[in-house]
Amino acid sequence: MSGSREKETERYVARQFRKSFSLGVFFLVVTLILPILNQFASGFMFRKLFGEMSVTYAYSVLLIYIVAWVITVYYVLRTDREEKEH
Amino acid sequence: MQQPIATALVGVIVAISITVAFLSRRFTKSTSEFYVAGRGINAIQNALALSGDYMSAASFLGVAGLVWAYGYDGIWYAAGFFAGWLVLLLFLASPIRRFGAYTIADFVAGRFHSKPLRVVAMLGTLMVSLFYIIPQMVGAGELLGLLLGWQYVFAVVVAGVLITIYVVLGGMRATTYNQIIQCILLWTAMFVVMSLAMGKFSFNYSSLLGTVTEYTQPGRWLDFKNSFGLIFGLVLGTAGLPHVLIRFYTNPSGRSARWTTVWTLIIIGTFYMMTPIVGLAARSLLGDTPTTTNLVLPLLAQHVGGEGMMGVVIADAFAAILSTVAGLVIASTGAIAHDLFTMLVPGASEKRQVLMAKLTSVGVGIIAILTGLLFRGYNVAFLVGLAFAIAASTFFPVLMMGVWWKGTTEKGALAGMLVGMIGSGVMIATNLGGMHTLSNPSIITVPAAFIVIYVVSKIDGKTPHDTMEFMRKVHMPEKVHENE
Repeated sequence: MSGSREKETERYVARQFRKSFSLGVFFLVVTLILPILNQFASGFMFRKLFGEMSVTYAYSVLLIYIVAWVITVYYVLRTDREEKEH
Repeated sequence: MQQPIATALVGVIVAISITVAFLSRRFTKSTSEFYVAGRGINAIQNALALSGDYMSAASFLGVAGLVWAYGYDGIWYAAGFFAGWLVLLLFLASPIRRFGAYTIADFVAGRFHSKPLRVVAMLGTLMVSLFYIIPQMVGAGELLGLLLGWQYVFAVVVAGVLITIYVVLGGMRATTYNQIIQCILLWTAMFVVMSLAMGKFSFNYSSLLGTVTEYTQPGRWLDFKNSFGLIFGLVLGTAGLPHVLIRFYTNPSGRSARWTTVWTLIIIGTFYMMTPIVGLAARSLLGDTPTTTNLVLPLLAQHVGGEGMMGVVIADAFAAILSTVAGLVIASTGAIAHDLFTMLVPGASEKRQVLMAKLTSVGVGIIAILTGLLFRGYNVAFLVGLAFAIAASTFFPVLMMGVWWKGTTEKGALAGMLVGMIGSGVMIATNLGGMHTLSNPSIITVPAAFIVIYVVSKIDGKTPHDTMEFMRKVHMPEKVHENE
């Protein structure tokens, strides 16, 4: 592979990785922090948020899904745009 | 329990499955058609098929049952099963499709030009698929016996023969269309049961939670260590399941693979959001009536929708088993008839390879039936956990490092896969032997596999000569390759 193509590939892969890695780490933190918060911040997590729904319940049945969908749409639209512009 | 409506509906599902397979039979003349449906499945079709493939009886009946039994702790399963898909989207879906092979062993062997890696990947695929097939077949036997009054042996044989017929007749295309139908049936049934159940609480979520407040807090089942380990294993295990990963090869492009994952996240996300509602409604409306977790959804359906609704749920549980096992049969067939056969007989004609694939499907179908009969009464949750742990530990690290780090070497990949596969097996066996209490070992074996790949690759230093060509192929948009 020529030097310029190799550099172009390296730059492209690095940019894609930065994007996927930052979004992935953010989502894993959002997901994996839940048991930690339940363990170490139970006072806040077990507080009622809407009616009988506690913070931890809303987190596990709503927030994780909403965060995942927002990341998904952002990632796919941004990647589609980057591929079109490349 | 005799259920005439359910029995009739199971008959309808059988008839539809066979008809779809019969109509798809002309699409199995080449290996590309047999394994990846000619790479002609669009994003929405593939998302529906992937969702049907992924939503096994464990998802359809099991999660609602666990929420009924343990409340909040059962919800971990729903969140974990869902969250893995985002990891797949961000890191693996598009690169795997762009490589354009048939199996995960193809991908690993192609990246490192290594026969030993192909063999280890093939063994890993077979292990994961088998540990996933067994609980599905055991579940089919026990569930249909319990719900329809069928003999265990009869139920296992019916499910096994039916799946084998439609995989052999129609290959990946028939499997895809059947999974699409089965996904629609599963999602709709869950939605209808949830809606009917919520009607009992005036469609007020808070009212439902108010009747079962003690089930909305964590700690009834899992301690901190095991809840963390469980969600870790489920998230990364999903991104390493061969029968899920190979479905991305059926998309026409990397972009299409990404959109497939988006639609899958929407379909299964909405599905898993419904399961806690159904599980808690069952707790509130049925109390301790169900005798096992698998009966929770059918009994709730009966309670809120009568015998007809119960029949629909039972028939859909059968559909869930069919769609999942069919995907696993295709993955196992690829491992044997493609990975092993083409290595032993290089240059085999297309016709011979397709014949081998069909014969292997029959063999895998027979193995599925026999293991279903042999493992009767085994703890199915343990076997599913084993499949996820092995998938997360064996495939996820090597795929991630192979796709994203150009410094990965053949020896590093091989060492990492072996550490992940053997380590997860040993950890699970020692947990069962009472030597430790960590039931989900991925939290240790996945990081260990990553570290081993990195350290051995650094020491080895012999990266494949075409690493950058591989990186360019799997990461750059298709139009770049078209212009070169």
